[in-house]
Amino acid sequence: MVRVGPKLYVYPMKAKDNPFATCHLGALRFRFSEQSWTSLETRWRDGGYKGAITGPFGVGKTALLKEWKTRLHEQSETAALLRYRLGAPIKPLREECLFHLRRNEIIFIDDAGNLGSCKLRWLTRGFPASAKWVITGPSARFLPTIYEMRGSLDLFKELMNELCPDHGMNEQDLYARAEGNIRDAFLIAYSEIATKSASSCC
Amino acid sequence: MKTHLRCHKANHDCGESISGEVSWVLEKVPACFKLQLRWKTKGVGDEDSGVVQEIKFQGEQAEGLYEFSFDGVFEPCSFSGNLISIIWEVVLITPDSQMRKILLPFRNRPLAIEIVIGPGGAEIVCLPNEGKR
Repeated sequence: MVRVGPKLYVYPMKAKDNPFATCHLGALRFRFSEQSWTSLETRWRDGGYKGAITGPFGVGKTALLKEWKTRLHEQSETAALLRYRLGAPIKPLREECLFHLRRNEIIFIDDAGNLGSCKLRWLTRGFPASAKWVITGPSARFLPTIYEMRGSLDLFKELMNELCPDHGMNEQDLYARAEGNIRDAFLIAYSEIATKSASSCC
Repeated sequence: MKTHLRCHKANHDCGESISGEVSWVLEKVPACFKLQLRWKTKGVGDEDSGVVQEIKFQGEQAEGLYEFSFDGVFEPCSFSGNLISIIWEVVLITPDSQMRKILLPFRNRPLAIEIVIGPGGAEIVCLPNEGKR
């Protein structure tokens, strides 16, 4: 057994105890300074409350949207976080967007990279001019980029230490093996810790 | 203002009924409560879940106690491996948004208690190297 922070981890690790399980990654809060929030919101406002958050897969775009949604809620605004699944019909998504827009809610379309440019145009054509919306994806398409996200080793180290302070793994190596993709690096960390035997850590 | 959810037992044999109680002390008469018996997965992949039974009840006073009982279930059993765990839980949900704000200030998370349902009341564990410990 190994004591890690306030928790007691037992190896071999059960999936539910793995500190890098998806539920724990999903619960990580996005780190943004007040200055960065102001900058993001100013760009969004200047772009007519339309914009794109860009960055590669696994860099934290969804986490940013979730945090932004909470922040907007604290400011008495409501945002709907919607996602398009690759291959799914687009009409239901459009209807859902219009439903939320009729209630004066802000629309966040996560993973808009799964939508082609034509589909995205079709989806948003019916939006009223006053609609406030944001997409995330690898590229901004026809929208102004309000924030370009990049992963960093420092951020990965910080998140690793938050999830499992005494993990004993080489973060730089994990990050390099995942080619700079933070989510993939966590998957590698999950596997390493899941297959660690009792004898190798006690 | 407090709400408590309690199960009488943490470990249940397959098919054994699951009972417990909900108690609350609030400023006003609460709206409808909903209790769910559900399972979920935890691990490396996306979370999967299923609601197996649901009980709805009305709080008739600002302070009260409700005893609940779910019928026994046989599957899926509580399970833990390297990649996935199947977890059973009893969850208390209230649809009233004001209540949610009072009771669940932390991102509207419902109150939940994890329980074990398995043969002999034990979780099925399937881990490599388990025997080496």
